[in-house]
Amino acid sequence: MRGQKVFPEMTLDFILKHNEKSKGAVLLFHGLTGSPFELKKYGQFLYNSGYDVFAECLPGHGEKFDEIYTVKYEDWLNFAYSRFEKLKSEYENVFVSGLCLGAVLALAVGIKYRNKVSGIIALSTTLYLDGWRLPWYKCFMPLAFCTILRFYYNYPECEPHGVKNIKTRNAVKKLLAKGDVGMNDFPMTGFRELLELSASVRKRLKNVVAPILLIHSKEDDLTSLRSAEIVNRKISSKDKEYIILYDSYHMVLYDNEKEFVFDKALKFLDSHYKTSVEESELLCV
Amino acid sequence: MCLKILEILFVLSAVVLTTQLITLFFGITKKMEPMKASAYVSAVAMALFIYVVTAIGLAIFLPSLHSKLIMLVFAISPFLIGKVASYPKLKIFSIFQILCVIMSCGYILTI
Repeated sequence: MRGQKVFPEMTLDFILKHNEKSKGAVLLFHGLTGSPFELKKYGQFLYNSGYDVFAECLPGHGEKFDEIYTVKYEDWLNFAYSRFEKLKSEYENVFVSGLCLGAVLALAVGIKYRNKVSGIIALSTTLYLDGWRLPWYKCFMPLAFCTILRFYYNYPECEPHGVKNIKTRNAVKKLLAKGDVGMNDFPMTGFRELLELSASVRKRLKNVVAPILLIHSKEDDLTSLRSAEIVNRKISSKDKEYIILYDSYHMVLYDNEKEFVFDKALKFLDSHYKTSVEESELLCV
Repeated sequence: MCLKILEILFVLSAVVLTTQLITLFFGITKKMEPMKASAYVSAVAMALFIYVVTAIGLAIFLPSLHSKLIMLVFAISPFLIGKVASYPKLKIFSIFQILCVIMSCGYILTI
């Protein structure tokens, strides 16, 4: 299928849109301190499979690093809601998917638009920061959150960069060194907003009724399986699938099992998009 | 005896904390390796933790109600300042935090 690919200059946002009618729209959200770049291969795969794909930089993740210190989680929520509403006005099927913070935002969209979301794909959902990579002194994090120290604290991106595959890890390291595909640090202010968003989403998980695919790695270095397990346990979706990966870390879209993740995501989308014909048949019945 | 130990611990933590906050204010972490900078800020958080705990301890053990209240205010000051602080005005709030710690230390030394 031929279509329109838009990679605007000076930004990592991308829109992959078919000229003819697609199966539906997939709205992608990237992770904390990341950028749509980390979703590019995933987006390209979904586009090649017949979906229109949309991924934009979240507020606070633009060109100016300082923006991450002033962004609030409400900004992320409003951004996610507005993008979803826009797509919903154009498409019959709108799926939301995200990685890390993006997965939490996908859940938030699923909560607010419970009957409008066609499906949710949550990858490495980060409700808690309890992965094995975080240092022992993370116990002081709550203290830093409440004081001015949060503006001084940046936890550096370090080995293993969320990737188990050595070759990919080295490639990620090189890209991060360039500094134009994501941030080299996790600012404490960003962590704080992520955890506040997670707490707000956790309280309302029972409002998620859309079909959902949860994928989480057992060895996730940033957030343990606990996050995905809580989502799996608390949501009200009757149609839910929870997959645990055993050979990946946090960045499941780039790691050893990426093809498996892509295939599972596609199967999930294909089994949940509704065609207009199906809908009219349902109406006739 | 308990009060004396708390006073010593409080003054020590206040001195360490003031030094650390001043170094942070002048951007020492920007000259460090990222991992060391992160560990350094954690050390500041540790000093702050000891400062707050000892201030609360002093608020409990000091004999006069007036001193108890003042120490309680000093104990919660990092959280009050943290609550109202914003990134664009970080320097002002940092100075304010440093002054608070210095004043609390001075207060304990004078009573």
